[in-house]
Amino acid sequence: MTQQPGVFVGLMTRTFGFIKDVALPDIWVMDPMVQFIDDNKPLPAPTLYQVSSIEGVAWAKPLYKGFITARLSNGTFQNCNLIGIDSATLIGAPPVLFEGKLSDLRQPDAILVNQEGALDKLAETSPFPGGKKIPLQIGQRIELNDHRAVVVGIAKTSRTFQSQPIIFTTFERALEFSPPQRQTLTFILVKAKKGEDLQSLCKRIHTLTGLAAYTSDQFKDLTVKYYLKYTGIPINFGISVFLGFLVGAAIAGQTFYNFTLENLRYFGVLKAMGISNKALFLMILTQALFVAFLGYGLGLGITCLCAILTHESTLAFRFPYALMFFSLGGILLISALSAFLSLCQVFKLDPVIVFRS
Amino acid sequence: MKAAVSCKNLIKKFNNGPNEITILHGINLEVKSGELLILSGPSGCGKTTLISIIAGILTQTSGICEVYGQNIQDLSPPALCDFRSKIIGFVFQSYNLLPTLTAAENVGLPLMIQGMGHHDATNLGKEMLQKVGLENHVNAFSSTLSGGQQQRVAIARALIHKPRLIVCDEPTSALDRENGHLVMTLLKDLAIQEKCSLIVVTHDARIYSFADRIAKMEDGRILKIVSPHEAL
Repeated sequence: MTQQPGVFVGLMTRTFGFIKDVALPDIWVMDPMVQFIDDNKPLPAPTLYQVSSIEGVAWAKPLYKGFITARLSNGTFQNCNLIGIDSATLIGAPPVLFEGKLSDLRQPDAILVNQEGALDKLAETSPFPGGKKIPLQIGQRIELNDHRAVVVGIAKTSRTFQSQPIIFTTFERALEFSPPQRQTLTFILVKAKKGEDLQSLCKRIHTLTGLAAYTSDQFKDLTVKYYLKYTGIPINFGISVFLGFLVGAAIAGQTFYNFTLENLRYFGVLKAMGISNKALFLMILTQALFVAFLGYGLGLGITCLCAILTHESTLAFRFPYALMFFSLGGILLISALSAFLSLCQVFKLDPVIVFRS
Repeated sequence: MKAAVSCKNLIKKFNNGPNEITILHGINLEVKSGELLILSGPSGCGKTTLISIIAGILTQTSGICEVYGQNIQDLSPPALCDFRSKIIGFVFQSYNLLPTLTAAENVGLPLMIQGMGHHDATNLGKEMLQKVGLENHVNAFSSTLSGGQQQRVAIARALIHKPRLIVCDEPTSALDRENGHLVMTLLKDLAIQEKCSLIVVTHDARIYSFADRIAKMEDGRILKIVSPHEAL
């Protein structure tokens, strides 16, 4: 009951992994037609200055986000996400580097590669058949759209929905690497002045420039809604989640209900001995709550263990508090339903059953 | 002796689809206070139905059944539960001990149903188990006890709340001769000590000698009531 929704939430969380990593700006400014993070509709370069000059904006920095093909040493090609960050401030860079220094990004042809990409999709194949891949390392060169690029750091990034390698470089170099485009500014990252109301600033940016301006949370919501609305995930995966929940609910409910059926004779004994319906009600309710919390606790423990074990893996699994309460609500609902069915059975039970051998 | 149970023209019918089956055909029976009455007869003759009505767990179609002057049909469902919990004790053929409770807890169950705390009821249960010779098995679960021991626990359970009437359904049918004799001796001795009346349903002619009277039933009717000597 928690596992499948956890995978679903994990998958949805990955859709805005990049927005989460770029934590410094308060507001993302973009073309009004942009529907999600990977929907690239570049803006004309002067809009950066237009946005910078709006009252309440502390700073505005450019961000390039596009796709590029990397040619690997074995001759194969790999599609990558290319991120171009402001070369002066390096705003938009990944917050954690496993190897290398962020300032090395100012060296010629320098790029940062995310760890997942370096270990897997951009790694060199082993010279031995069936051997392990050799991870991409600092100092190694790769070819990006016929341009030489030198790895100067390995970055930690959140896993994204498409799971493509992410390459970071400066804004200007990203434009060099990319195929020529008329417009190049994918996003403008805006920091609001201290005390500035973000919603008001978003409205002001939109009014003065005609561009869309979202806070990070709004942009995450926009991205998730796009995936929910325009991909088959909610239908296809949602059915599986629903079935998972239903099967879990059926098993939990059936187990408790069977417990009552198996012990119907003993309920009959208690009824014959003169136990009141109120006492039976309290007895079954207590049992249902005990079973619910015991089952929930065990399930929660296993789920959390699963979450811990798969934390750094490719498995999309996320278990927020909301899901914890959702599953608690679910198990309580099922327990209440099973308890109700059990009570119906027990209340209508004829205590004469005790005289049947 | 004062009448503990008085049944007058007791009729019980069951609906079996479109058919109506009459199980009891106008039973007239009186059980005196402190008496041990055995109900005997072939299977399906209505013995169990009769004690179910007397014990207040089944209602008759017509007729009157009074237990210690109380017409059972006049009682509301909660009052009937209360009546059963205080006045009636049960001993079943298959013991019906709750498997997750210890012997002492099983014995204390009728007291818990009446509202006594678990600790006090279990302690009294232990005392009662001493009377049936099971003081070394107070913490045993029913699955670890023999048939005879389980039935002695059931007798202790039936007597602990000092009921005025004990109904027993085939209490010795699953026991060998020796254990059957022991169980009936205990049941009669303890019941007499507590001034209870006993109605015992049985096929087992070996225990007829314990009865004050034996009611022979057939086809939902009491054919005759005889002394143990006459029955044997």
